Amino acid sequence: MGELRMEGVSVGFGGKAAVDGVDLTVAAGHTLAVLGPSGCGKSTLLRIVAGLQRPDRGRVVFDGVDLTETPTHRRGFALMFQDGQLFAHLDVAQNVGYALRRRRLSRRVVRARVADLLDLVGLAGLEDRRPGSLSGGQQQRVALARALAAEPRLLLLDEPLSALDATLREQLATQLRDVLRATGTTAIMVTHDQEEAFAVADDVALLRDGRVVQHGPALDVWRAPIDADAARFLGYRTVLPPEAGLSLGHPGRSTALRRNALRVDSTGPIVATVISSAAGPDGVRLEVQVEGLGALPAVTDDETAPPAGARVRLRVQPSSVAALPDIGRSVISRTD
Amino acid sequence: MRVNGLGRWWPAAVALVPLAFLGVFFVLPVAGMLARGLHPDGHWALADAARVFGRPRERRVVLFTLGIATLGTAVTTVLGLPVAYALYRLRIPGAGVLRALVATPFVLPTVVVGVAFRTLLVSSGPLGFLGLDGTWVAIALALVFFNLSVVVRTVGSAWAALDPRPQEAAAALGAGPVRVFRTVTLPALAPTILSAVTIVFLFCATAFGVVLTMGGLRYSTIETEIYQQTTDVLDLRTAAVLSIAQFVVVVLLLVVVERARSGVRPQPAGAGVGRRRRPARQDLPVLAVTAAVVIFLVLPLASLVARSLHADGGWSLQNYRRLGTAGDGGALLVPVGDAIASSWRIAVDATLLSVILGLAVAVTVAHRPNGRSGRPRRLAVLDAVFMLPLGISAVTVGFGFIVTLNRPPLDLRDSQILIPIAQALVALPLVVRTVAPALVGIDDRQRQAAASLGAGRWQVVRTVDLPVVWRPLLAATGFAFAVSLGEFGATSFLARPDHPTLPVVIYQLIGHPGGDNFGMALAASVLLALMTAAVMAGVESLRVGSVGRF
Repeated sequence: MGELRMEGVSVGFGGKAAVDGVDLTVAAGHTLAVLGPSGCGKSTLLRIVAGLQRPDRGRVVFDGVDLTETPTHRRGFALMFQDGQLFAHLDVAQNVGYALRRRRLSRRVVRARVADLLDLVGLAGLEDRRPGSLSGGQQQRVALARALAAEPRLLLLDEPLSALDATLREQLATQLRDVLRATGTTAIMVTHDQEEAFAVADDVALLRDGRVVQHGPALDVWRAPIDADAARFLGYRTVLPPEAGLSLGHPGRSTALRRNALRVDSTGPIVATVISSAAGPDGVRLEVQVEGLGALPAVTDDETAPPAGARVRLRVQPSSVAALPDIGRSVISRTD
Repeated sequence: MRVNGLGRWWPAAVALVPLAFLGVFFVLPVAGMLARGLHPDGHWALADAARVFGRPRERRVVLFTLGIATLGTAVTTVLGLPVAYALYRLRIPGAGVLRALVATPFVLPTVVVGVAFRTLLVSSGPLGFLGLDGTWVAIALALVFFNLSVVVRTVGSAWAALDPRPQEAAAALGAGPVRVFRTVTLPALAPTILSAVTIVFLFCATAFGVVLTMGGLRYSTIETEIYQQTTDVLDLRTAAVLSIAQFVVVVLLLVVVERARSGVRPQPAGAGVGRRRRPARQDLPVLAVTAAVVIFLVLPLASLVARSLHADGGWSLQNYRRLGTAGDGGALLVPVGDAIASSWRIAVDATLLSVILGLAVAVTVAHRPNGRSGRPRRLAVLDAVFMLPLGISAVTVGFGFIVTLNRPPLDLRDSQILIPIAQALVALPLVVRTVAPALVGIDDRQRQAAASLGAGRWQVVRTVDLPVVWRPLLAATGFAFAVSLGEFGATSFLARPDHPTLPVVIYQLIGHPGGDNFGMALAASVLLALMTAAVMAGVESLRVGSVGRF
């Protein structure tokens, strides 16, 4: 129970396709992150699922029931906006209880349920506060509690953490993941932040120009980007042409390297010249010249940074390197 | 440090000029008028004053004022909200034209509105069979006609600017359309609605020209009663007591408006503005109300124009040709053409005055020291102070001019300058309300950025403020001009018989029945309406949202 299917969903604005033939499935209890740059159509896709936007073509099916013509408030979903969209004229308890009061539950039941939900998101005791007096992170957690209170069959999250600063984002991502697991809620989250996506979601779909270019379990997508653009969007720093593949262990394949793919190791097979180096909070970062490969980033565990011009040996970290599939297989869909 | 010192004090300096103006030409006359009534012969006569409200006539006047204003406000609101929704949230053909049509009555001279309704309702008129001429129902209808635009424009533009996402969030949480409206839309609009409703009540309760031309002697409101008591009965005490009562009510209402306005949250930058949606089946009742309201607005004006073209039992321009004369039976001292010329001259002076003063007030009200956001309390008070002339009986001001500005150093009684001054007082709040929002909307960091890039004070004004403000300023100029052209309450007191303005002439023509005077009044009304409508069409083409919003 709780499986969502998008079948051939398309919508265009002014003759330009915003969402173009999207087929995606979210298994019951799973969280899917729709990941893509701004303008890729991910928010429009979410609005279509929510029923706030009519698709030109295609269907939205939940548990085998076609919901395409069902108005938003009858879908039994809940939507959480990037900036929370708390109702400023209601206090925290009234916000969280918004969906509950519709069900003619007794006052006592509503109050208990609201308290439970606030406890779940770590805001116990803030019932009487106005949204305006809360921090950004607290507002987002109230918005999450409000959405969960509806006991939605499907929770829709529109960049839920993007408005927050880095530390808070990490903290809330973990919390969000735990809450989704604990409540067994099926969820779709759209985001442009790959770290946010991987911190929260089981599955990831990469969206580009309204089309799904890659879809699969989060780790699989992360480890095997479909093409150079996907690799860069997934946090890989450099993409090298097939000729360079041999020295990186993937002969004849284009290779994507993360920032820490090359590590200084006195027994490493690759010889390089240091161009520049800088000590950072997470170790020393180098820029090195590798013969036949050009300028590349590298890292070292040594406390002292080697000077420019120094010769160093490097070892490849296999987990930080991804071989890209041959051109021509541009779309892989792994829905299992 | 000297520059800093100057920087801190210039808003106060700019505010001084309009404050001084308000002091001499508003507070002094009103106070003089009140003193005459309550403090005659050098001692207080409060007991006599209190007795005024014990008299059945005065009690009737007060009750009638409250009753007719409540009724007018209620009907205006009930009709205005669906129209606001239809014209600002739905995609209907010709919505732009309809929005302009709804806005027109507000700037029509009150005398014209009164005359237009009478042509419709007199026994020989198209709706004469209803027998409404001279009844309170007719007065209430005219008040609704007049004030609909306040509700439609104020609430409509707030509705159009409403961020749709909270409504979507509510829908996504399972709320149906009715519940979304009740729990999200209505609370968001409530401060705006309250503000509009209070302003409408204010306008209804202090309406003068409409009541005088339509109520005749049967019905009078506090405002027309003040006029009667000062001009006909010469009972200054009663007039003064009524003025005080009105003043207290107006101040209370302005406090309510200010409270409501402070509850209007500015839309966050980049908030998504809901797109207008195609009408659906459930919008039918709203569209039906809108259609009925449009007919209600067109009918009196169409009737006025038709009747003005009717003379000697057939269609003719006779009434218009007669505007070159002074009417029958000594109705006027000068031809109507002369009155048109003086109306224009006076309106130009009044406009200049009100725009210069209004700009000074707007700059002061919008100024936020040290780039802090939000409005300091004293500026909110200042803002409300300059709104006062809107609600104080124009009659009180006009009569106050005559009783206080009649001795040196301010012996201006015989001077024609008093008329533009009085009209400028009436137009001033409207100028402030049009210009101030644009100034407030400029992020002070824009000015700081310009200054940090090397712009001097005047260059900052020229490159940051002026590009934003010139349109609202031009719109305010036109608005002030239209209001001056149609101003009747204060002008009726101050205009000398040999130099009347057009609204005064129209009133005099109605007051002298017989001959072709009524026909001339109709023709003059059409001309006046055309002039104000033309000016307002120009204003409308500037597309400044804050015109006529409260």
